[in-house]
Amino acid sequence: MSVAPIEVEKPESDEVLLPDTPWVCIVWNDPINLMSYVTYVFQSYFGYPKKKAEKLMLDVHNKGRAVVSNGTREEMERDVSAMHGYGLWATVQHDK
Amino acid sequence: MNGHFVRGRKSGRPEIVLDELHGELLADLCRQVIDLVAPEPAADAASDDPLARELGLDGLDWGGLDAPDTPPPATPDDPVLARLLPDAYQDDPGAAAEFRRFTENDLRQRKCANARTVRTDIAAAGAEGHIVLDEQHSQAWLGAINDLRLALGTNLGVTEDLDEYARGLHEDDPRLAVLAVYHWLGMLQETLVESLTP
Repeated sequence: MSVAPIEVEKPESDEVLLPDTPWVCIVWNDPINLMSYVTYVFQSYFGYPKKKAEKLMLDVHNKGRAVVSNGTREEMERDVSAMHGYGLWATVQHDK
Repeated sequence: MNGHFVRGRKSGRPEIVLDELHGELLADLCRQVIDLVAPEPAADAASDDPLARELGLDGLDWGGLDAPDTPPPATPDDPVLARLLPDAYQDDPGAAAEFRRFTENDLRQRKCANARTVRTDIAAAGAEGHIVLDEQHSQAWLGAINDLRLALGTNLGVTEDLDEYARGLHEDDPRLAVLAVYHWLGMLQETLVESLTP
């Protein structure tokens, strides 16, 4: 049996537990990466079906950039890091 | 499969036969990438410390463990390095620098490991030059060949229309020889992707 505390401890953190605002991973067009390779990367890393991967690749090619994934900042930093590993030019951005 | 990848009928894996000339060329290009992207050696202080040397601690990579007041690594001045190790944030230099502080070393190591795998595979193939890539090695080759294309392409300043780019060069231009290698690497990459995607 324990004595009830006189003061209830309050959490120190004043972090507000709102759902994370989405961040995005953007892949940019460049004149070097092959279209087949970029499609392959979108399929094998993100697990996108071939059609979606091809559409994203064409968006990158024709529009100069495409949002390829979204999520928390940490997740997007992980995706960008992976894209850099594959040699794709990618950045993280807050999706406002 | 001489000089390009095919999907092996029996193995179902990407296979290639590289003659000596092409094998040496590819291995040498990989060595150049390793020289370029290998993580910076440990701080001078560690190398100058005789005790650290005796304990074998010099030359160790302390990346990420540096004091918090160490300025984060900047975007590389060298255009090839800047392309191989790009900024992760476009409009936020502070965030880009922080990201670089925590990830650049790892990215450099991954790229070096890929290039080393290619060199090892070429060496192991010997005079016959026949190479069969399992899943892990396929990924390493894809990454390494792509890095070579990024390095050569950035140095050449290629544009999307390669024929047009080539027409802009005088017939004596030394870049034409580099462009031929760049073309070949593109064909290697294309056939490797094809042989991985039935």
